[in-house]
Amino acid sequence: MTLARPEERFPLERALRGIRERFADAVIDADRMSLREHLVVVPAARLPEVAGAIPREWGGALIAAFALDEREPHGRFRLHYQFSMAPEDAVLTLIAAVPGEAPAFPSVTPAVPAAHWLEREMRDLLGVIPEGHPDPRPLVAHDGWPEGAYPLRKDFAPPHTWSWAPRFAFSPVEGEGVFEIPVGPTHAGIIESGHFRFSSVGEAILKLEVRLGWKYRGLETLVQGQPLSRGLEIAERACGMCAFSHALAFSIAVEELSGALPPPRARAIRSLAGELERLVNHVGDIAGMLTDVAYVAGAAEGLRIKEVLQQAGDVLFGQRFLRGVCVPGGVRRDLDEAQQRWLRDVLSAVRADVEDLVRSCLANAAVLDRLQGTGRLAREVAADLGVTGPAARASGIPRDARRDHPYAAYRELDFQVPVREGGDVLARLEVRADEIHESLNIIDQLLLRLPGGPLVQRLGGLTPGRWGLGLVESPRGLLVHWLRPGPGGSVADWRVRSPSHANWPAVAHAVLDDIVPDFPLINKSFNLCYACVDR
Amino acid sequence: MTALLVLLQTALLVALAPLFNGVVGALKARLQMRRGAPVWQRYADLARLMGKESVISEDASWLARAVPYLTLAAILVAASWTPVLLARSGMSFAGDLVMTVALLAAARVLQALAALEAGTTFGGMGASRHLALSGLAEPALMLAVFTLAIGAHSTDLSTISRAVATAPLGWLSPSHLLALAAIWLVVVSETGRVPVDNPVTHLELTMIHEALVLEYSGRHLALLEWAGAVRQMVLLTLVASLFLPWGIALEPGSVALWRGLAAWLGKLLAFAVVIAVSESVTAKMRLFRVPEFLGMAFLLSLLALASASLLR
Repeated sequence: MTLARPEERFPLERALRGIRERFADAVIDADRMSLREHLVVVPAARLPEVAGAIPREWGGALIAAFALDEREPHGRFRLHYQFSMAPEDAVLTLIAAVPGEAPAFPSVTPAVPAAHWLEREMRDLLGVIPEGHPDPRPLVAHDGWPEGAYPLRKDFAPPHTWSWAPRFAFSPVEGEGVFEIPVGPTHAGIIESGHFRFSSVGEAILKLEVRLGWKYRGLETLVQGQPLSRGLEIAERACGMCAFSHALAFSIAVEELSGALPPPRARAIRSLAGELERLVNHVGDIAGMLTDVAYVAGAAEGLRIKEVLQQAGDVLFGQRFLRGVCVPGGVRRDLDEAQQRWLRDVLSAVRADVEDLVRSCLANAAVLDRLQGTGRLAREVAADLGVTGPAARASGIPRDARRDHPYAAYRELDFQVPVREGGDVLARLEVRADEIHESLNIIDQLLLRLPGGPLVQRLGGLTPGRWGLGLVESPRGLLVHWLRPGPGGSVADWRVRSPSHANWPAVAHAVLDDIVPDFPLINKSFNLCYACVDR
Repeated sequence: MTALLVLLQTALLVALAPLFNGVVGALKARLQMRRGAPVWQRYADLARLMGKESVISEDASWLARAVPYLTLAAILVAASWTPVLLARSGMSFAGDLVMTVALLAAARVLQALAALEAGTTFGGMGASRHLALSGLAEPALMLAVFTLAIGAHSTDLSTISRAVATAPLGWLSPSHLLALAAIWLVVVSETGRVPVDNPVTHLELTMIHEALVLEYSGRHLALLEWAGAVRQMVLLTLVASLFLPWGIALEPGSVALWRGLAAWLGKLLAFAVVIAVSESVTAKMRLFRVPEFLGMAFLLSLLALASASLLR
């Protein structure tokens, strides 16, 4: 490994210095929230130029952006734009205030395309208008969503009457022989609710618009004012397939607030459960891709292995989706010697089976022909859109929160971050296959020397006015939970940015130049979560 | 007697058609280490659909209602002169090879029209894909069977079957083997099998054959499913009786007919195994590769025809 030059290893330092030099007149305040998070307060009017410079000049990646209702008592809305400064374990947060009356601010999206959906949500959920946003249509607010109903405002009350005014129009592509193909939100199979609008000529896709939010549940509103324990339960149910990652990110945010570090054994079990969840997802995703190319023998084997892994979760942790394992301060389930031995046996069989499966499908010319070159996502597009997880790593972006922002036991573990350059369906499958291998290695390391000691660290009191940030590499990529406590240990504000939220816009780019019947395969190779977006 | 045999053969094709799909499904499940549905499942499915209400789009015309019956009728007629047990047909006056191909094409066009009726996207997409592929598959099918017709000096199916069955080692000629390869590729494409289509997919965007029936429900869907199964049986029986006619009865007689039945069932079982294995070990092709696949079928049948003419 070559040593990076010092300024490349410490991008945060460069960014902070650069901002102070270049935008000296814009910086209102600079502070540090935690070991990891650094704050720079700027006026909303200067937000686009400062935010635009961070990815462009200093390699930051936008991981979350949200607005908070602080009209009571401060008479303002507050904006947070959070950038990961990987490879340094640091997060740079830009903060700006927007007036409480007629809230609007210049949109950051033209400078940082990754903010696209995030800013549209600010408009829908809080009525804070990003002016100059390239796509001012609503994202979550569907037809029938009442005007002036902003679920994340503190004074929001569900309205009694619902108007049915159309609020959204697809932007059509015109020309001879151009057809529109509407798909969903109800599908022929058991698929979640999403609407896909293709504009195509013959079978070639000219444009795809993805419309989600059909089952928006308002979890972030629901959590406000709830006790932490209830907040954890709701957070855990944001998604089925990555329930453990959600619980973990929430717990880490709480722990950062209370200054409690979970004991070593708890951290090891967290890593173990997290890797088990990754195994289930990655094996299931590979099986899904094989189903979509109609390679049924491989798909059946993949689904069998996934079932073995989920049953292992059930046997060890009492829940197939690993719910209820992680709590703030530690974990609720222990693994005794016999369970560890049993898991080792199960996983060594899984390792052999997965290797066989991957070898057989990559040796099959018919399968390879479908995967190669399909759904290419260029590295530049992936970087601009803030794509994360296996999808980013398959396009040559080596980001992984386990290494960049270590949590649980990852600091002490030895593992690789597999990267591919192709950006196609094959690259995404290969990255997952390699990550399965790494996950099994990680669990082996953990089982070899599971630290002793207690499972839970008692939480200290939460400091009001501060906030906690939980960063977790879920199976689909970086998951961000942001939590601010209110009086009496309740949750005042909670925000989630799921990797699927970051990656959905990329699907619409990856399918360009492909044909309509290849869309399901390309979509499956990202395997994005609808529930994580309709949170 | 002749009329009875015609009825018996047609009834066999119609009655056993769902069973064939059930057997392929069961074999595929075994190959995937699954237990799978019983081979009789397809009959239960049809019975269930028959008992359900049929919903037709308000925008659809009478055609949408008529097409399931017309399709099944066209295929039943084609089935009636297909030699199953006996290489002598009582229906030779009614139709031959050309008529079979024409009736199958007519059924296809009817289905494509009906798919457009409801005005939904997937019907239109399925119709366009289906017709595009059929347009490529049909010439290959015609040429492959014409190769045999040249040898038999007739386009009558029973005469061809008899000619191939009685010619000693005639099936070893290059033209016969090339034509067999060609017609198998055509059958795979026409019956919506992997690698051309995926009969079990639920993904609307990838569908070819399934998209045509997506708008149908209840008894209409049952009729179309059954018609599709019978069409598959007719095509497979053509392969069995024309290209591999061993064991087929040359004269009506109970021993010969029983032997013909056993041979026919044996060949179908062999086809089921071949289809199940090939569907399990290969993946579906990208749509734009299918023309190459059918182009190969056409090339093979052209070579078969050429060598049949040259080596005569």
